[in-house]
Formats: sequence, C-alpha cells, structure tokens
Amino acid sequence: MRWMDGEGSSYLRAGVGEVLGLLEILDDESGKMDVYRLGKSIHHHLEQLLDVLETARILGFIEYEAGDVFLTPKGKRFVESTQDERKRMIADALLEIPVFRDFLSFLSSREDHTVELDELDQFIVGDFTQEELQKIKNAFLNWGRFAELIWVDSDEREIHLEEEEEEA
Amino acid sequence: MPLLELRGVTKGYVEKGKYFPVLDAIDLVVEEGEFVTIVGPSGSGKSTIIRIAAGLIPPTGGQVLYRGQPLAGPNPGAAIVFQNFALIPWLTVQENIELVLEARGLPPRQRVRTALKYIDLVGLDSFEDAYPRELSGGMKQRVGFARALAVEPELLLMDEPFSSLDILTAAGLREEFLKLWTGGKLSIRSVVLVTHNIEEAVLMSDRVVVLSARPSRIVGEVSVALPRPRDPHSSDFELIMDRLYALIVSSHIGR
Amino acid sequence: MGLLSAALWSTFRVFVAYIFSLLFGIAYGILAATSPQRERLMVPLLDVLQSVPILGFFPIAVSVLVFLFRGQRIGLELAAIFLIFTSQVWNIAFGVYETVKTFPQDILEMARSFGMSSAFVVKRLYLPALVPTVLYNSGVSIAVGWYFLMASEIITLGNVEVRLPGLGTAMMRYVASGNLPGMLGTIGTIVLVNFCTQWFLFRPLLEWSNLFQFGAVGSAPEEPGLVTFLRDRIRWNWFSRSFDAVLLLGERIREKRKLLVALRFLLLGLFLGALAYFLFWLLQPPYTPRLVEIPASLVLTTLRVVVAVVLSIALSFPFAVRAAESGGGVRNLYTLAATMGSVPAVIFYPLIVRGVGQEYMGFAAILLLLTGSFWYTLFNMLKGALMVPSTIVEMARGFGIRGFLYYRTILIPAMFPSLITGAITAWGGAWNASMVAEEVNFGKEVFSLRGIGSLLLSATASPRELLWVVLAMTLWIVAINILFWKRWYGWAAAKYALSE
Repeated sequence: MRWMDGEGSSYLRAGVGEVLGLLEILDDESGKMDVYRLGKSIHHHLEQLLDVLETARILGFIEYEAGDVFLTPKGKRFVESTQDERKRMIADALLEIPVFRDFLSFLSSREDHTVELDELDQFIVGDFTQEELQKIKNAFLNWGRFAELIWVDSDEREIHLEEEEEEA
Repeated sequence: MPLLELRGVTKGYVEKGKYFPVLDAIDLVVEEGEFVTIVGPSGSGKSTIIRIAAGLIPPTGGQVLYRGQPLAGPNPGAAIVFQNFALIPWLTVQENIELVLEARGLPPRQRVRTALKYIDLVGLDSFEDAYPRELSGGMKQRVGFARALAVEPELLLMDEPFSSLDILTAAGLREEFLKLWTGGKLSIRSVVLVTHNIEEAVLMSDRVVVLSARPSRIVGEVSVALPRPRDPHSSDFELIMDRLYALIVSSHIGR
Repeated sequence: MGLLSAALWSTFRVFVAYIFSLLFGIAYGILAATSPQRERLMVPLLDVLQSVPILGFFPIAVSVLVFLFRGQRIGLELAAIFLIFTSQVWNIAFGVYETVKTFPQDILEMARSFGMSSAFVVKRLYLPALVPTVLYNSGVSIAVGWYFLMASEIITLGNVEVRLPGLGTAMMRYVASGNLPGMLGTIGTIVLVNFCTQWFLFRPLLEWSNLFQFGAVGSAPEEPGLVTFLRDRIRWNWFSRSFDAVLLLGERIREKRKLLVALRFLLLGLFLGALAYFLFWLLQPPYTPRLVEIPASLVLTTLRVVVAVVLSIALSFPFAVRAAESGGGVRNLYTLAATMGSVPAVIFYPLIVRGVGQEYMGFAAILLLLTGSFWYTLFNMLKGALMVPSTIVEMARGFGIRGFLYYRTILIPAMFPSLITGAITAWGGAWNASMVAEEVNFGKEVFSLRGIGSLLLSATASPRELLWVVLAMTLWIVAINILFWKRWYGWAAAKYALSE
C-alpha cells in the first residue's frame, strides 16, 4: 500500500494560486526567464521560489536548466486554458504522480469511497518534520480539490472521492 | 587564528520518537575581520547554526571552537540580533539595554553611560525613554542592534534581522549598519548573518555560504570581492547574484 | 460603632487571605510551569483543587485547625482565612502557570544569549510579565473572597456554633432578629468596601498593566500614583536580596541529592502507609443510611447545578452582545461586575427561603446557585466578546447579517471557547453555592432540600461519613470534568479558533 520513492522529493509543496502566478509571469516574459530575475520579481523569497519551481516542474509546466526557467508547451497551454480545461489538465497531471495514483486507488477501493484525513499520512513517506508534513498534506488536498478528484469534509475529518455526476 | 570554527557539526532533534537531522556535517570557518552570510530556504537550519555559534544549544556531533577553544555554554564573545527584536515591553529603550548590561554584571553608573553611548550610535537619541510599543519596526531593530553592540562582543550574530521590516526600512538600516561596520568604530571583529534574502547577502557580506534543504549541507560558497557601498544594478553585482541563484536552485530542483 | 469594627475584621481576613493567595499562587504557577516533572504532578492537582467545592472541605479544615490550636480563637481565625484563601488562590495560580508557560520563546533565548541566570530571568522577566494576569485574577479573587467570607465567620462544629466578629456574623444576627436597617447597613458596607477596592485599587492598576503585555501596541499607559509611590518608598533591593536568598537556599537543598532522595522515599512510604490505613478505615462496614444516600443526592444537586449554569449563560448573553458591538466601556462593566459579584447573595438566602417556604425551596436554591455562577459566565463571555475581531463585526454589518442569523453564525461561534471556559468556572461556582443552598436555619426553623450539600452538613458530626461524602463528591466532579468539560473545551478551542 505504501508508496515508496527513493528520493522522496516528488511532493507538491506550493498551491494552485502560486503556480498559476509563476506561469503568468513566465508567459509575460515570453516563456523564458533568468532565475535570478524571477527571484527579484518576488522580492527574493527563496523558500516560495524553490517550492513553486519544484511544484510546477513536477506537474510538467516548466523546465529548469542552467540558471534559466522555461515554460513548457503544456505550461503554455495551461495558461491559455479556461478554468474547466485547467481542472482537467491538473487531474491528468496528478494521475501521473505515483502518490496521487496510489491514494486514489486506495480511496476507490474503500466501500464508501471515504478515508479519514489522518490516513493520508501513511502515503507521505519520508523524513519530514510535522511542519513539512502539514505543508505537503495541505498542497495535496489543495490540488486534489482543485482538480475535483476528491472533496474534504472538515467537520468529519474525512476525504471523499468526487463521484462523477450524471449530466441531465 | 580564526574567530569561529564549526568542524563537522551535526544537529538533530527527536520528535514523536523519530530522529530528524537538521544539520549534516557543517564545516564553517569565520576568520577575524570577515563578514559571512549563510543563505538557505527556511527550515534549512540557518538559525540553528547561529544558536550553535552563540552556545545556546550544543551540537549533536562535531566541534565548535571559539578562538581555538571548545565552546561550552553561552558564548561570552558573541551577541545576537534577533529577527523579532525580542525587546521587553515594560522597559524603555534605555532600560532594555541596561538590562543586559546588568546581567553581565556592570555597575549602575557604567550601565547608564554605555547604554547612552550605543543609543546615540544607532541614532536613537531622544528616544531613550520611549517604550518599544511606541517605536516603529525599524526603530525597534535599532534598539536590537544597540543592545547587541552594547555588550561589546567580538562576534555579532544576526538572525534574519531585516526580514521583519518593510523593504525601505530594511534598506536604510542595512546601509547604516554597513557604515558602522566599515567605519571601524565597533568592538566587533566578525559578523555572521543568516538570511533568505540573496540580494541582502551579496549587498552586505564578504562571503556567501549556501545551505541545502534539510538536512543541511553546505552546497557551495561565493565570495563577494566588491567595494562597499555596492550598487545592486552594476553588472558585477548581477553576475554574482546570477551565480548564487543558479547554485541554490540547481541544488534544490529535481534533486 | 459595631459595624465599623466588623467591617475592619472582615476586610482584614479577606486581605490577609489574598496576600497568601498571591504569594502561593505565584510560586505554585512558576514552579509548575518551569519543570516538566513538577508540571505532571502540579497541573492535574491544580485542576482538581480548582474544580472541587471548597466549602465542602471547610468542616475538615476547621476540625484540624481547632484541634491543633486547642479551640483557641487563633485556630478559628486561621480556619476562616484558610477558607477564603482556598477560594482565591487557584485562579491566580492557574493564570500564573499559563502566562509563564506561554512566555515568548524569543525573549527567553535573548535572555540566555546575554548570559542571564535563571534567578535573573524569574525576577526581571517572569514576575513583571505576570502583572496583567495577576491583577485581572486579583479582582475576581477579592470578590470571591467576600462571597465566602460570609460562610467562614460562622463555624459549626457538631452541635457547637462559634461566631467570629465580622460582617458575616453581623448580617446573620440582623437577619435572625429581623433588623432591616442593620441588614441594609451591612450590605451597604460590603458594597462600599468592594467598590472602593475595585475602583481605586484594581481599576487604575488594570489599565496600567497593559504595559506588561507582550505585543501590545499604541502609547504606553500612564503610571498610577500608587505605583510611583510604592516604587519610591519601598526598598526593593531588600526584596530582591531576600528573593535571591530563598533561591540560593533552594539550590543548596537541591545539591544534597542523597538526603533528598532518602527524604522522598521516607515521605512516600509514610504517605502510602497512611493512605492504606485511611482506606481501610474508610471502606470497612458499616455502611450507614447516609452513605447509601450519596448517589441520589449527587444526582439531585448536579441537576440543580446544570440548570443554574444554563441560566447563567443565557443571562450573560445580552451583556456580551452589547460588549461585542460597542467594544469600549468594558473596564467599567468589569468593575461593576466585580463589585456586584462580591455581594454575598448567601445572606439574603434565609429570608427568601422563609418567604417562599419549604415547598418552593428548590427554586430559591437555583436562584442562589445562579448568584454563585452568573458572574463567571459574565466575566468570561465579556472577555470573549471583546476578542471578536472588529473586522468580523464590520463584515457582518456590511453584508446586513442581522438578528438570529448573526448570533447563530457569527457571534456565538466566535465566542464559543470563552463561553465554554465561562461555563466550566460557573459550574464550579454553582457547586460551591450548593454547599450552602440546601439547608437553611432561620432561628429555630430548619428548611432542607435533598442533595449532597445538606447531606454533607448532616454528616459533620461523624468524621468517617463526612470524608465519604466529600470524597464521593470530589471524584464525581473530577470525573465529569475529565469526561465532559475537557473534551468539549478541546473541541471548541480547535474548531472556533479565530485564525484562518
């Protein structure tokens, strides 16, 4: 059941809004930007910069090479899409990520398509402090909800599978 | 002889029965007269290095030497400037400074004289009797600087001292500190600054040390051999910034 | 005049007890908060002591002290002061504990980095930081002390009744003889003394105490004349040096580790032996009818207490709503509440009970419990209402969220944690009042309600029965606190925390 990754680094850490902001900036700069200038434009917030670059890279929206950040064609398409198309793209991208895939198959294997919020912990494997774990879990839920793959009942502390509704 | 040496310093802590390494074999030498900056993302253990150098926490492994001697307990030669000022709200500016002089055992008269001298030095004259709550963030940090300088340390440790301030105030205070530092009026021999602001690092220090994410190792360093005051728009400056950014981002992305 | 000397005696008792509460509460709080080992023992103990009806322990304390002093007046005085002390000290101790526990870490780090010793930290950092919480709790403590004073001056020991000179005794005498001017004079004196204490002593100090708050903004408050006077006249160096001496003594004792360990084992052995003997003595038959009566009595009293707490919350609500909407003027409301809260409603109680008669005594009892609990819900809900961020109130106004919708979705959730805190303290207060609400002697007439309070009073003649009743009540209350209040509070604090 556990998903193991030797490097333990394929976790999304930044949220939807931040990634969108990064892609917009890159798009304005016609898809290529020096990482130093990118840092300057967000007032050298190093932590945020690293998180958002890593997240966008895992989703396949950017590439990083030798001091430059590039917008990939997929990233470019994302920026130009409508909200619904974006949700679909994210859903597809998330299903490429092992931890999401494993979690979703676990979720749908449950009879009521529901797991406790705390059960998410066992899918995040690695040497993380509580603070880091929380950040990764928040980003996980943030992306999953944005893509409409899951929904979260905060009162009951449960994660539910988002069921496909029959269009009338 | 170097002022401060960290030799293979490791540090970790136990949370819920699990050991978390924070620092992984840090080797750092701070020479006399040097201004060293440590940059890294938050949670990378930058502040832990400051606390180990100040003798506030012992390293889990490795050695800390101050002037060649192993450090045991708070480092009497060092003083810290804190990110959130750490001022006592019920004491006035002058009393805040006198408090640490009292703790160091100075007699009352000398306390007053020293406190007033450093209040003057950081440009807070006529604010001696103000309470911290009546001061802006920038002025509070001036008190923080005055307090650290007043104990006349050899090593000044600065833990993100400008990151609680707005951009303009931070720029002004940085400039003033650099003037004091290059003016040679201070007792300080060396400075260690910790920051996540790369521009600040290049603007101020002689050498920038880059930490990886936790557990932190030193992934590289860049020396900044530019004359002060430095111009952030000069091509030399931008070249160094570019190199530092590349060093940091490549060590983090797609690891 | 008799009233003046009575007032002086009573005031003296309240303030002596208060000074002991202050010293003990501060020491207890600091000790509990500064060592994890001590914390594990002292905090649960504090929880129990805080939630148990002190009046129930009074007969035991009186017996012990009267025995020690062979029935001399000093023993009775000490018993009275002890009772008042136990009503005042726990909230101070708890406030101190919480403040030291939440003392800003960066300040402590600063202290260590500049080489401040732990004695220096306690003296120059902890003690000043305690000023706001100690003052806030002192106002409450003094008021509560007056409430209990009434019960402490008339001491019943089996069939003997002893009266200490004071306002409580005076009031009882006037009530018994139906002297209306006398009653009014006594009540007026109590209100006046309290009003003066709250208005001239605590109100200015409370305003000034804002200086000692971490993270407070705006201009610094003016120093009250009293503080300036004390600072200039008292030789603080002497205090500081005696404080150092006490700490040094503590260090010395701690150095003698072997002796300490031996002493600890000896004490533990003695304690366990005594406990075993005590349990044997307590648990052996016969089980008298009074012991069999305990469960039913507990349930009856609990029901009355629950009704009183619910009513207290309902009655406090309109005040809290006003405070949330107007914001200011709450210091005055606090002073008013502290003054009114100190009026010992107990003294009217016999009159009311005689008025309504035995038949309706249950309603009168709930009314009395209400006076013992209402002020707690009011204090806490006022505090909670003040903490509702003004942006939330403005948002509600801006979107036209009004009436029931406003209370249900915004105001009540926003003050929920303090509402629970208020309910917990009110619960304690109502239990305390129960100890006097269930039996009334009016001259020769006796009115009595079934419940744990009347059972306790009837058991004072037999030490074994008395201990049974007190212990059963303590266990019952502690169990409810752990099983019910603790969980509810944790849930409320997590769910309705006002941060995003």
